[in-house]
Amino acid sequence: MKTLAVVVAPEATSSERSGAELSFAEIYQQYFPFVWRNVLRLGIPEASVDDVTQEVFIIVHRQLPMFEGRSALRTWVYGILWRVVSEQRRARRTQEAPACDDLDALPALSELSADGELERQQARLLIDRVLSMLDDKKREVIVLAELEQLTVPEIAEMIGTNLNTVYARLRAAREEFEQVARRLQFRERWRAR
Amino acid sequence: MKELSSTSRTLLDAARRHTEPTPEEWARHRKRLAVQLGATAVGAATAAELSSSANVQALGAKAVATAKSGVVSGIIHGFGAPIVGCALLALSYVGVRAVWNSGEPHHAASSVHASASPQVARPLPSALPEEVPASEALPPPASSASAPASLPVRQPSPRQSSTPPKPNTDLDAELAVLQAAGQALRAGDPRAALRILNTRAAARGNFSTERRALRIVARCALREPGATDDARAFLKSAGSSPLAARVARGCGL
Repeated sequence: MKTLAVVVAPEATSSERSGAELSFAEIYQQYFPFVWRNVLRLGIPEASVDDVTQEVFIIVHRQLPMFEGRSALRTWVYGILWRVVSEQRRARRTQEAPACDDLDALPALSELSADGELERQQARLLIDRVLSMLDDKKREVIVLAELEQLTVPEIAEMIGTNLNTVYARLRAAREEFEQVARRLQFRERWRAR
Repeated sequence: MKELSSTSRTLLDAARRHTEPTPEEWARHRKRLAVQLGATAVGAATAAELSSSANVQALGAKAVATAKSGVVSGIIHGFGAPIVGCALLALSYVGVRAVWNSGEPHHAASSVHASASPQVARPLPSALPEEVPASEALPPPASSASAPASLPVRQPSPRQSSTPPKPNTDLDAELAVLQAAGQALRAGDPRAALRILNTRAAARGNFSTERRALRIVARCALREPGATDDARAFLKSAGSSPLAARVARGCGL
């Protein structure tokens, strides 16, 4: 049976290509961490991250034969991820009460440095609450810029918008993030008294 | 673009570190996905591939090599019989379909789907040449035609912008007021604390819980009627606040 494959390096010869094809399993191996962590970072509760990640990869599996390689593979995968996450968030917002923005009940910043399982859960909770104070678009750009360490042109390509919009959105996102961080800092000072 | 504070950096560093999947989370997900794909005829081979940990490790090494080698491009070797496309369609299930069928035009993801779906419905040629350029085999996607067909190379994040951000003067003013009110309370001057809390700068809403707590403590110190009731209400609604103990102590609760 002939196959549709994503091939590494256009200059690869036919014999090399068969060993370099990116099968679904290879794409899964390469992109699972990227998908999983960004599903979490974009606001899916930790308990649902597995389900949403699974949904993303089911779609990747289904759509892979139609992927033409005209965009970067990561951009293509991210497009699917964003779509699934957006749908999930929309469904959750209609079903659940909005989260309270009270930072007082959250773990202390000092707990972020620890590495245990409990600390990881606490840190994930704190980070999600901080990021959730940004709207979806600002959250997206700050996740891609500050956590994924992508450049603005890369982000523009991934989210399908122009450079100026990304710059403006990122600047606004960083300002809001900074405000939340200052509130946390202030809270730490109160707790220390 | 303005540099982030050390607190923001701490948060972001922690976010990078703590939001990576653990090996256990990865193993659990791989197993689930293998089961899911194994439930379909088309996915059986992939599921077997995924469920073999040794194979996955080998694939991991190859994926790393792939990433290092740089360019990835979509090249069509050719298509099998149209039944392959039909079998792939069978893989879709209700949840996935629901996600993909609802419109979300603002994002690139919709263009991925928009370009992909018609191709699924279109009968695929049964006998294409062994290596056909993508542009000849399939129509270009709706929006990503100009995107580079390469794996992005990670570069340093941009740290500059053309216009500086505005200073957070409101936040600074509110913080200063709260700190001054706290100092007045510690100095035994609740009246001054209330005066400070009644300024316009204190009326902004970033620290409403802190402002409310300080006001209650000041009113309790002045033995104002209703202050104790307000303290009880505060403890009920914001009992987890770090200021709860201070309110309880200040109001004798």
